[in-house]
Amino acid sequence: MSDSAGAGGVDDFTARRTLAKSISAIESGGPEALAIEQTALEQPGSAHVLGITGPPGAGKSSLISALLPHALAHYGSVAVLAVDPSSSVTGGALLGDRVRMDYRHFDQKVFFRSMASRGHQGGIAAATRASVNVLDAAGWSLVIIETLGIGQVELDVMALADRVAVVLNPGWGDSFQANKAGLTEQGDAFVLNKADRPGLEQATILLEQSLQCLPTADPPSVFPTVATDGEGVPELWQALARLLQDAPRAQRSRRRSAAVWEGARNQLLQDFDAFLASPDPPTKADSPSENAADLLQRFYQRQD
Amino acid sequence: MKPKRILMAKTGLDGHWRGPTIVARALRDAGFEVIMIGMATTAEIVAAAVDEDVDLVGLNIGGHIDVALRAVDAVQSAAPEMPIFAGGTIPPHACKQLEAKGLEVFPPGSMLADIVDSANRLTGLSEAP
Amino acid sequence: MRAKGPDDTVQACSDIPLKPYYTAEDIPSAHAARANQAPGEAPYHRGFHPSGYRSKPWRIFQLSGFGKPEDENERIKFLLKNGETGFIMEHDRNTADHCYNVDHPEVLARREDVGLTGAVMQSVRDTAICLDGLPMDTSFGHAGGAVVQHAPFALAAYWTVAKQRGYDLERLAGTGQSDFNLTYLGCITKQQIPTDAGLRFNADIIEFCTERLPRWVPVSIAGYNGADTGLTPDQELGSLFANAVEYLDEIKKRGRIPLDVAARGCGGVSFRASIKIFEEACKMRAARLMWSDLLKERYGITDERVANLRIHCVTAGSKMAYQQPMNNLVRGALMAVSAVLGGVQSLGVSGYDEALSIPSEHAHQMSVRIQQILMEETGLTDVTDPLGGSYYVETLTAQLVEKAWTFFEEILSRGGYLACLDSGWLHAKAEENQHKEFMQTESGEANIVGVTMAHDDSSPFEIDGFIGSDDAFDVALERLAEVKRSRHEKGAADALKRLEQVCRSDDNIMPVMMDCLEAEATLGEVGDVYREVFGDWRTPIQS
Ligand SMILES: Nc1nc2c(ncn2[C@@H]2O[C@H](COP(=O)(O)OP(=O)(O)OP(=O)(O)O)[C@@H](O)[C@H]2O)c(=O)[nH]1
Ligand SMILES: [Mg+2]
Repeated sequence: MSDSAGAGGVDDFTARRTLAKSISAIESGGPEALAIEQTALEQPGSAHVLGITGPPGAGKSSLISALLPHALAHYGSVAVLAVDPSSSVTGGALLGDRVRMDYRHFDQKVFFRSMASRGHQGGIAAATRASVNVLDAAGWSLVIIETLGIGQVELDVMALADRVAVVLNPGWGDSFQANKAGLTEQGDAFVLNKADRPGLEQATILLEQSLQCLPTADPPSVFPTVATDGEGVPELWQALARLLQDAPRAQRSRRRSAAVWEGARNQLLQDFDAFLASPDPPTKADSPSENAADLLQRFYQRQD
Repeated sequence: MKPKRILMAKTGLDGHWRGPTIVARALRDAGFEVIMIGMATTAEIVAAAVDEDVDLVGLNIGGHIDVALRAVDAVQSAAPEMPIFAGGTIPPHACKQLEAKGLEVFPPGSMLADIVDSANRLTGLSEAP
Repeated sequence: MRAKGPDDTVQACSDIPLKPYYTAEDIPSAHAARANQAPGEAPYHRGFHPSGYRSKPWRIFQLSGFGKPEDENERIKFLLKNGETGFIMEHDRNTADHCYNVDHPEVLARREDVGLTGAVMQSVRDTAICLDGLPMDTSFGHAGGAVVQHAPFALAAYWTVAKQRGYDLERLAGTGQSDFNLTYLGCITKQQIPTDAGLRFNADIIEFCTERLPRWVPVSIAGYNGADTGLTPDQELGSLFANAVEYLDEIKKRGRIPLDVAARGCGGVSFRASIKIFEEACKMRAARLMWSDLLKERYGITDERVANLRIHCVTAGSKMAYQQPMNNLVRGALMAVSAVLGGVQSLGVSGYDEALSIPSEHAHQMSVRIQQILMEETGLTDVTDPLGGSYYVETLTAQLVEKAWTFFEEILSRGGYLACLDSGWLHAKAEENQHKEFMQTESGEANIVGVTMAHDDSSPFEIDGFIGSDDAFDVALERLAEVKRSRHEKGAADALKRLEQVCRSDDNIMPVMMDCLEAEATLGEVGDVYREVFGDWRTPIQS
């Protein structure tokens, strides 16, 4: 507990609080969020970003907990962003990923943030990208994103992470059949967690078969693990560390571009809303499509 | 309106999950984002409260009041403006000690509606009565 | 009380609709013949002994303990002096339930909690202090070890002390519980061995007792802990027998001891006695009936002595209110009545201060007094199964049996009782019920006197929680150091090494555990072996 300098110093509550509050501001959205992210993007950053995805209850959080000591040994500091679903009715959420963490590793440089999806689709929260950028700027060298447990294959995390590990379990054959086309294309590594359960062999064969069908010379590997007692975790970590090391360095600029685009899009929407609210009677034609075209034309004229 | 965030922790090693689970569920249903950390030490509670930047800390207290008071002091010194409320098997003398530190306290038999009201008030969603 | 109209439904806790009154026609036909049986006739819903409490009163058996072993010893002696007829040792939850010594970081972080709910016993020396002067040879003793991973240590400690005092283990009577419901369903510990390792421990204890301690009740399934977590009475029954089936199937698979002997050992169980008097009494009747049928149908066991289910009951702690705690004396008495009407063999009444703390001396004394009044003054003991033949009671008993078997079958279809703990299915059931119960009081549909109505802010009887001793941690830390300083170090290390080997093999764990205790290995060291060999249970819920 001695090291309080720089990112993640355990005793350095001030720095941590500032960071945590930045993320809260990002979660609140709006111009302030964008400003925070843009300031962050002006800093140099070199974080590696690892996505962990997979169906609900596959063991994503348990696996992150098991990977933490390895990741800490390698990177020195690790931040985790764990996303869970918000209720579409009440907006509330139970964020339970922390329960799976083994806090014995938390006296090192670990930053852990639970995030509700707040209606955002695609397995992450709207604030996840900007949070990654802020953590990167603050010097956290590895950022792990746990997506919410999704059954669907719309993985926004692909656009954020340098590498994505897909966590599955033995005995999930059916859902796999439904998803395999999408899922297999999205992972850089595949984990068959709960390898202590029956069906491991069959699941491995099925999974490897479909990975062989991918149009790449070097299909991703499959790693059996038991997250809860650490079996297979060192092997998985070795592979992930190598994958992260060798990852193309394009993601950071993609995250930067995404931030720029979002800024531009927000501005555009704001301007358009203002235009709609203006007293100018917006409509005269009868057909909705003509109507829309007409609206846009006048909007762009106004902007010039 | 941005949902408010509440950290729920248990100070003791006594694993009664009945009460805390029902309270967490009620808070979620009232629109809060409830971050569960289960049984946690003072250091773990403070680190979580800071990282998660919560609007309110909920402590489930099952054991000796001194253990809880230590957690309260630590949270209040790391984040002075962060409100705390507490529930659990808390005898009257201990309730008074917690209240003296500015906590709202909910011993057994408290109504969920009152707990939710308190969360609304403490996170600034509603005015004090 | 709000009067009910013709459209209002009234339900038993087990989700059984209740009629305004019952007649002979209501008794399900399958049960009608049984309703006419006498106590002493299989399947024993009316009781095993025709003479009931006339020939054998129930055992007054109170959970007791806190602080240092000598504090607990003093309290047990106090209870015995006041009329308790057996004794229960209670262990500190921080250390015992987790198999930690007091110097474990998780315990150090909560040092003031140590000793709050039971005495700290880290070595056989501590257990000897706790048992000092207690009638181990003549009394039915409960060695603690309520928690599965703690039971082998607690039992071996008790038996080692008995041996040191020259008692013959063959003649020793008592129990140690080792209950899954307690820490895998009700109060989930921070860390414990997986359920399959726990099943192995319990089967080992059953085998060991069969061979070495024939009068000992090796394990005691506690429906109480399921019920107080939210399982309804029918679910309490169904899950309890599903649990028993895990033990018996395992013993049968091993084939080392006769199954009927093991079944006799599993037939000492505990239930919760809650506040709905008739439903609870029916539950005890249903339990005896189910046990007899289960043994006959599943295992072909018809031996009368085996089919004699012995029931220990504890009144529902969660029904004791924080507000106006003196009201709890009434609740305790009435819950005890439900147990006695159900014909139980052993009874503990929760303290009136249950919602505030562990029992004060006075609360404990009152728990004994309540039982003595019921036993001596009320005539409840005059006639065996006094409710037998009541249209309502026989109907409700039969309905409970039916619902309980349905729940039992559902558990078995999901892979069995332990699989339902591993998957969190039982937890979900309990939570659902709890939530419903909470909502009923929240909405005013159900009332709790002194809590949701009949408030009295100026109660002159307000009490504060009992705090035991404040030096339990310090003394435990000193004694731990003392044991490690003065024991034969190599002997302890060797015993622990052999324990590890046995844990990794299929051999019975109990003989080597006896060696460990004799060699003064400590609780935390034994726990470290478990953690190394068995790892952690994967808690299925977010608590
Ligand atoms: N048997 C077994 N159980 C595991 C393993 N890994 C995790 N679990 C258990 O599976 C359950 C879910 O684990 P989590 O780590 O919370 O899974 P998750 O994917 O993060 O879940 P969500 O965030 O809710 O989608 C827990 O009860 C874990 O203890 C494993 O390798 N084997
Ligand atoms: Mg998770």
